Amino acid sequence: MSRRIIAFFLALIMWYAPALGEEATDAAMTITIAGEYADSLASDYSDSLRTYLEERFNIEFHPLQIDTIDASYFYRLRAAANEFPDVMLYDAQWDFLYFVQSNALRPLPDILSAYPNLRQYITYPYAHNLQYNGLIWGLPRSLYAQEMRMPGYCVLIRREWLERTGMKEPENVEDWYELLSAIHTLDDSVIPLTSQSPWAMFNFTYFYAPFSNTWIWEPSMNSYVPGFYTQSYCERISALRGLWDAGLLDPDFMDVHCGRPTGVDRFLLGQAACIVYPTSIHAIMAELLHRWSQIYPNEPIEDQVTAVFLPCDAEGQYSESHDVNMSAIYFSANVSDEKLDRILSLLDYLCSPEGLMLRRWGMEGIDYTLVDGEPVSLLEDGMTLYDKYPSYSLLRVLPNLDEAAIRSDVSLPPFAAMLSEKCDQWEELCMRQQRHWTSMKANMILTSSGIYFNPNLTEISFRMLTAPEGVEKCFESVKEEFVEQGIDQLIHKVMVNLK
Amino acid sequence: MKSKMFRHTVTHRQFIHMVLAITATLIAVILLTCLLYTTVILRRNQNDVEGVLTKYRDSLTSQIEEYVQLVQTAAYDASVREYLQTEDAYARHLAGQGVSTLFSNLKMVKNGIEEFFLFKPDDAEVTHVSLGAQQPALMERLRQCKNPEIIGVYPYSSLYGRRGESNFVTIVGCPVYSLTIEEQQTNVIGAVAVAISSQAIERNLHEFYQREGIRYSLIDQNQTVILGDKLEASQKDLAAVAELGRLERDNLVTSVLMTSIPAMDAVLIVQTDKMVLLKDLFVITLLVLCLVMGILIAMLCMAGRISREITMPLASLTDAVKQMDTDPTHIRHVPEEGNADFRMLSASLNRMLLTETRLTNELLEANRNLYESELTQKHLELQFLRSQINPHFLYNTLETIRSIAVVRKVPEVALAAKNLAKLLRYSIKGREIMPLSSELEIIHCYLYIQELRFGSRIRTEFAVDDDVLDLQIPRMCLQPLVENAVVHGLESSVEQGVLSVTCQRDIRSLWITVRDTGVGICPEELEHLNSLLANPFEKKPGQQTSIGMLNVARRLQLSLGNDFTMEVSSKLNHGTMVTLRMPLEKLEQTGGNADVQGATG
Repeated sequence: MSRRIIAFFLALIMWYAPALGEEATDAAMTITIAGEYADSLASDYSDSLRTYLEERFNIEFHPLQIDTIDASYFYRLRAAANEFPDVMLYDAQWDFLYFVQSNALRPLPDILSAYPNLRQYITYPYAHNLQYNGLIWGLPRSLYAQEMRMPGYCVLIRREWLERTGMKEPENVEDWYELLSAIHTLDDSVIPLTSQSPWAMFNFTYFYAPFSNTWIWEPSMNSYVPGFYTQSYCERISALRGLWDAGLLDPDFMDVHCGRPTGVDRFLLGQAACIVYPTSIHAIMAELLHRWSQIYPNEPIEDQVTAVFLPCDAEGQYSESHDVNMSAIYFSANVSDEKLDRILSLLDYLCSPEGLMLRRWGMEGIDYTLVDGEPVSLLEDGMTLYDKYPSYSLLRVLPNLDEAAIRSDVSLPPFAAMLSEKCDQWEELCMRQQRHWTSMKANMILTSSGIYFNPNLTEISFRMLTAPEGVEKCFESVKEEFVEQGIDQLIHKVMVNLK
Repeated sequence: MKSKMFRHTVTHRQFIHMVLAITATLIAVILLTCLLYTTVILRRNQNDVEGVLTKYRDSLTSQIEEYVQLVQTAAYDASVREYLQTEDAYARHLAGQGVSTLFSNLKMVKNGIEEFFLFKPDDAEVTHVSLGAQQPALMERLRQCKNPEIIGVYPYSSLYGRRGESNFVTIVGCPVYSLTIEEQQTNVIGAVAVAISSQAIERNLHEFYQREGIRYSLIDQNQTVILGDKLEASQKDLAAVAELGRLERDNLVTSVLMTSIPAMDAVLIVQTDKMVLLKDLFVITLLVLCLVMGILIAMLCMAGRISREITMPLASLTDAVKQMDTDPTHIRHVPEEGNADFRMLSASLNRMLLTETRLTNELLEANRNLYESELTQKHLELQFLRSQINPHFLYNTLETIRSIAVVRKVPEVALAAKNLAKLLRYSIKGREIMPLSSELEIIHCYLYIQELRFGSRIRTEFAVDDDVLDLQIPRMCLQPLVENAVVHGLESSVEQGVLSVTCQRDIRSLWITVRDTGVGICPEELEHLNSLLANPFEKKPGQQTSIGMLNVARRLQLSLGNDFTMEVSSKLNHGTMVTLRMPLEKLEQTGGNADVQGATG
């Protein structure tokens, strides 16, 4: 009898032994992820979507919220301390080369042949700007077709102001001046125009090109020069200055993350009539529509707000865009091969057909079901995945390589669908624009003064916008500062490299 | 002594009563134990809750104090003042960057900060979407506060919060004073506020939500649930809490403890669901009760079975024995019931009683037979005495005849007289048990006398085994048979007859046959004769005939009991055969009952 009991316990131990071993060796891998929307992965939220992915890949997200305005400062501190987060979602156009050369980043193992779903998006020239010394140092998050001129911003107007002013949708700067002035005249407590972010405001006067890394051929210098070094840059700030001086712009649009209400707050609360806002469907849904439904649950935004183009210039030209991929995913040099594989597997899954369904429709059987092979949403009316899953704000765009597919999604909310349709029209208009040479690394070439040429264009632009001496004089001062910082050497080195 | 034994006898009813009493006692003990445990658990829980509450209140106060210090630090930072006071847009932007960095750094100092807010005196009543529609009240409180303090609890919608689900934040605010020389230091130029996430506060309550059966709710004075479950309290209770600091409400099902949390101007309600808290205890108690009931049922079943199979049969047996003891005429039988052992015992007792009855009857019958036998013997002795002439006269006469015959040379007469005297003497004198050889010798004497009468008409044949000659048999049990064969069988026959006597033995018996080839016996008479011989002492009609054989049978029965057989077989005109079987065991031991006097009629 006692032998049988001992045999039973031995069998029990042997039965559980493999499970115990697995548990000991297969613990969830912690992945620190930093960037915008990272907080949406916080475990404080009860989020079955995050839990699903964590369990599927046996990982555990540790979010590190990094607001864009602090990003450079934060990441440089981390780089100096060799404590980069495992994954960074960062618009590192000013810091990319610095991080690479300071050995803070780790390159991808190869051309991602082991991750075919991800690999299909990482093709030249999209990955070109993320290459250095023959290695790929990051994964682009937003890709635009080479010939595509996608407008990055639009202006949202509360319809009541169009009705109260009796004006049509404005087209050029003059039209906008009239509209915003009329609004200001009707109610001077209302801010005529605000913006979602500081740099969004500067894009209002088709400032997209100089703000980015565009290099423009300057005949007078017989050379390519940075866009912000051209007279065109000054003219565009001057155009905005007219609105500023007339008190038509939000005086606090530059004040972010200092406890003050944002432009979005003002627009949503009706304290601002218009707002310059990104055309990103994700931003629209994650922020604007989400917030709107919180404040006005019974008022569809499409009934209250309309989207119009940014103003065109005197020749009828609209703003232009370029094949840039500012936003990218970077990996810390401290990430092990195993962890990198786990992260790339997650990204590969999110780029797979199944992952695309997850990112567009949520979890099958819970958020949608397939009827005749077509997904049908199971969400309540008015509810979106952004409302349901906090983590969706990030996971939806963790790889954001299929923007075109998202835009054509038939299940978009009416307002997002309307904006998407408008974007198609704008793209047609933008096709006529001249396209300039763009390089992330051009601005990062080390000058002879021993520093990376890294101007804070947002601040410089605001300085010009508010300068008591006027835009022209301020621009001259700025150019002198550029020269002092070694912009001539930068231009020379870039030209040498180009040749 | 007898009454004492009866007093300790437990009847089946008493046994069941005893089982019920034990079970009831057990149940009572279990319920009492459960009640005691309930009291202890509830008291300990109450103590624990109060301890946790005190800890929570202290911890929260300390935590809030840290947030207050953070807000104070922010409010007195130069960048904040500069931002609020500078009118130049670009300079304000630069100051704003400093404020942004300050807030960012302060967020890293302490967890749980959702957001910093910087208000200006001329701000609209509603400015921040995340703070919802209750900002006017918040702004009013901010305007009133003179020092860093808790402003209150307000709804807060995070960018990632679910729609329709309100979170709450605790707002700690501090006015920002102008410190410039031109302005009075009491001039308030703005306010800094920090929103503390409910999760940061709720972490202190983990000891509550880890406890089963405990629900908690942190509510403000408007009964808005800040944290936890939706638990309501009356305004009267809230007023009492505000006055006393704490309040207890207790009923059968729940226990409610309300504590004021001054740090948040809120009330924490902790409700203990006693049923949930005691669920395990109740389950255990229920299981034990079920177990006891199971044992009770098992004991009752066992008691019933014991009662049915042991106690009740024992009582019936006792009653039957008592009745048999007090009334001899009562039927000698006990009921056969109960378990196998009892049935076997009762059956054995019944068999004993049956045997006793049979033996008693047999004893009575034997006494009756003995009595009749004695009567018969007396009668025979009387007859014998009557017929007895002076045997000495006969002996002397026969001796005289023999002497005369010898003198006158008539040897046949002499020998006949001699044999007759011998026969006469053997039949009158001597022991009742004689060797078979003596019996055979007497037969020879008798047959010599008969040869003188019948001459060659009778031929005799003897077949006697040597090992039977010494066997002791009742006296005069063969001669009457030989005499019957001669007188009733051969004498009537005109032809020569044969008389044969055989004596043999087997392992257990002595077999003696007396056979003649005479006239035989008719079947009816033979049947009657055999029936008489089967019960020799039974009086039957026609008993006057065959008296000799009947006497032999009676002698044998008196001597050997019923262990002998005597059968007569006959065929008319062909002869008759008498067969005697006597058990060797009795012959070798005693030769039969030596006290029985011969009944040789």
